Amino acid sequence: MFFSKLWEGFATAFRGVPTTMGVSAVAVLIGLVLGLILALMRLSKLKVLRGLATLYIDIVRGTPLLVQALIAAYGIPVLIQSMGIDWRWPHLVIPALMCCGLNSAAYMAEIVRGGLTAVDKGQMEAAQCLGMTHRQAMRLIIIPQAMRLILPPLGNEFVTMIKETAVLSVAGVTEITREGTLLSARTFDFFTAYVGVALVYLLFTISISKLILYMERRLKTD
Amino acid sequence: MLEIKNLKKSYGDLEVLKGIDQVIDDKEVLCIIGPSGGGKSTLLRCLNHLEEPTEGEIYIDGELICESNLIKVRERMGMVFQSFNLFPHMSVLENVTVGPIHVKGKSKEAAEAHAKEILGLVGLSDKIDAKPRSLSGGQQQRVAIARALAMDPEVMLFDEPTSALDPEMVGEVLDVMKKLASEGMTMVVVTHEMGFAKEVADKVIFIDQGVIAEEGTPEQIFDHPQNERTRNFVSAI
Repeated sequence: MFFSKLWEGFATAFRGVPTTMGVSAVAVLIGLVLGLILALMRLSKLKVLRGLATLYIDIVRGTPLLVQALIAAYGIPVLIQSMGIDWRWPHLVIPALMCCGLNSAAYMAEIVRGGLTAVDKGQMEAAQCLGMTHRQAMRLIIIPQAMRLILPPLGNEFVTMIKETAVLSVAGVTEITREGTLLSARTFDFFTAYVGVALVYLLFTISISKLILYMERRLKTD
Repeated sequence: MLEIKNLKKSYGDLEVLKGIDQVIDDKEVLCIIGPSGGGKSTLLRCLNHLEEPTEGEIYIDGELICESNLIKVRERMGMVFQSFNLFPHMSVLENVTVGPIHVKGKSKEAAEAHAKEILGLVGLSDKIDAKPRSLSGGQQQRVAIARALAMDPEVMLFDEPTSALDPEMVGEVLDVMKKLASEGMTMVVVTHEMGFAKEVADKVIFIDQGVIAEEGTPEQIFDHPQNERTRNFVSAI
């Protein structure tokens, strides 16, 4: 009886996997692109760009993702409606993606910056001696090497994001945790429903972490 | 022709170069020797503004090198580093073609044909698809020379090109440099290889404590040094 309930909890939560994985993957990709831009801004010679990037990172890292998600999902439509426009999100997964992506970017910026500064100084010099502009040197020489360095921390960011997206369960997205909440609301068996949820998360976080470790080792020997 | 006028370089209070004047003619091989920390490498790195001179000017064919023409000028000056600085994420062929393709706007085919020719010249025709890390130090440095040559530079700058090499690999790199010199390449070489300087240099300058302490032909510097510091340095080798 207990195990069949636990199985029901696991199987129900599993239905949220595509949403959780999809949101996490897209968020990490958005985060990577924006994070690269933020990292380049932070390394810029222009004080304004450095300041803007730092401000952004401070704000995002200084507020909980849950609060950001609530502002995006429910706050923004109310703001727009108060201006007399009848508007709502076509689907609440959109603010969720935006929010997680923008959030991830702040963390990714530090990861990317670490990768960029870890590339040997001689690489930039060699590129410049070939007559490359700073921009060409970054694009052709520095960023490709930095990407290799940041692949493992990037994977860890993905694992973190999988867990963090649980907050979206209260911001209108039916992902793994939300499936568990809906089940427990029907059966009142909160234990098996949420342990089922936990097991689904574990299944993915552990296997993906192992995969990253494997990739990290391959990259080192390559 | 390179012209160095009253070149000074300081890092904070530390004055590394205290006013260098020198002319390097076309097809000339200039070797820069001297004790460590004397300013040899700084002088070389000032020539293409890898280090920004604090004072003084560098002219290439009468044109003052400055911020606005720097990128164009660097195309005309090849540079070879002590630590090779090959691009590890690219194959040997890509290392040699990335400049011509992206800086000079050559087609991939033309750049690759030219690169293969140059790699043949440095004796690495069989390594074009290898990654830099699979090569020996001597091979890597020869790739680095080929990478610089692929830009068809007017001047080649060498910053202690053999100092990071195992002794048995020094010869193969020096051989390539001798070949270049005999073909009439203008070269500025910072080196500790006195044998090379003696054999190949048209002019040798001895730099100590930020100034040219002595300059002359290899015979003058190595066989009849006038300056006491030069004499001590040369006799110590």
